[in-house]
Parts: sequence; C-alpha cells; structure tokens
Amino acid sequence: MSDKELLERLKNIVTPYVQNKEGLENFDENTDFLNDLKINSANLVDVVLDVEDAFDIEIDNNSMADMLRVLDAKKIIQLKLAGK
Amino acid sequence: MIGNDLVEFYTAALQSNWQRRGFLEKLFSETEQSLILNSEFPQQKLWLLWAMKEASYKAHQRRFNLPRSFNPRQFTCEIIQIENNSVSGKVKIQDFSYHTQSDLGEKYLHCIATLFRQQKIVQKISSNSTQLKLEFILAVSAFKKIEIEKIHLKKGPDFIPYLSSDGLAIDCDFSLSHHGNFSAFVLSLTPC
Repeated sequence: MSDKELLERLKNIVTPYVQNKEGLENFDENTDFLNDLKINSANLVDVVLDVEDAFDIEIDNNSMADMLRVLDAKKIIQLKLAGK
Repeated sequence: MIGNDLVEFYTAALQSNWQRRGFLEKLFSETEQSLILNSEFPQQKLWLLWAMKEASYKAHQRRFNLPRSFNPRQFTCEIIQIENNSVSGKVKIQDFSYHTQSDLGEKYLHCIATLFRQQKIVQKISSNSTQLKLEFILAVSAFKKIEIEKIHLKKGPDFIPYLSSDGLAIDCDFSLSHHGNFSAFVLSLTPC
C-alpha cells in the first residue's frame, strides 16, 4: 500500500470524529489528532478501533499510547501490516 | 499539581458508542469494566472513571513535564466514597497517586485531581467559555497580584496551556477543560 493510499484511508477513518473540519484541508503526516483536528480524547479510542477493523490489525496499548499524530498512526499501521 | 476534566453527558452520548466492541477494554481495567457494567447507571459510571483518569493524567503530565501519551489503562481508578453527588477517589499511575473529587451534575460531571487531599483551589464551570476565560484571568490576577491586562494565556510546545506576563511564564498551577457546551477552570492556591 502506498503512503498516499494509507493516508487517504486514515483520513476517511478519522473524519467522523473531527470537530475542526478545516483541519482536514491540510491533512498530512504532521496533522495532530487532538490539536489540529480537535478530536475529543475519548474518540481517540474509536480511531484506534476503526483502524484495527479497516486494516485487520491489532493495536496494543503501547502503540495506542503513541497514536497522536497522523505520522505516528502511519508508522504503527505499517509496522503491524509488516508483521502480519 | 492539579488537573481537571469535564464531561457533558449529552455530548458524550452523541460522540461515543461505549457499547462498541473493544471500547471499554481499551480504556479500562477488568475491575473498572465490571464497576461500569454492574452499575445502575453504566454511562455515568463510565464517564466518571474516564474523567478521573483524564484529570489525573493532566496533573501527572504537568508534574513531570511528560510528553503526551494516550494511555488510559495505565491510570487505575478506585472509588473511595460516594456522598450524594460528590465522589472522592484515588487514581494510581506507576508508583504515584492522585486524589480525585468529582461532582455529578444533571448535565455534566466535573472531576478535579490533586496531589494533596486538602489542596486550596478556585474553580468555576460555565456554559460561556469567553466569560469563563475572563473569570479565570481575574482569579489569577487576584492570586498572583498581577494586572489583568498583563496576563496572557498561551500554549506551550507540548500543547499544555501556560500563563505569561511581560514575556515571562507565570508560576501557576491550573487546568482548563472543555466539553460540549461547558468549560471549566481550576486554579490551585497552594504555592507550587
């Protein structure tokens, strides 16, 4: 899967939880889930669960702890996909 | 050190489907999950435990200048006493622990986490966030004896808010919270 494709899928996953829709216009690796997209912290768990379902991977608690930016999520997804 | 968290029930019900598979497991220990599931009001109990974790996370992060982390399961909650709508509790993270005091309102719940049990604080909850910010600055002004116009609320590199005056950070222990229609501040009056 290309980086572009991965980011596109990730963008679709987070969109329902985004409270600052303008933040989606500049969605890239540096986008911060909490500060740029204003995703409620309780919804971070939904992002994690949706990522697990969409990519058919399991995200352990240590990996979840780091999933605060798009770049973090991308790295974790790639790592878990490689380990499948 | 101090932290606080506010949950508006209406907004929480709109934003989160707590019954989806994996939701409780990712956030709560087995003991906490059974507290929630065996409660007469599971959603209220869920958001109470969540707010205890969030408020303690904020206090802990500020205390040790920690980088951000989404690790709610590392914070374990214990409910000590429930009296009317006031709940005192304790939250542990590694070898550290925080006292929590939560108020259950009709529309929202608010939790404050402190390092010491009897910490002197000022707090305020409001549905008008602009007014609340002003009252917060007023409270800081009265406590720190700094003119209101000189106090500026800023965000640090790790997104933690701080106060500055004349270009210098004000040594001040506080926490802000916002959810749905409500905002809250807590300001510690105990010297940090």
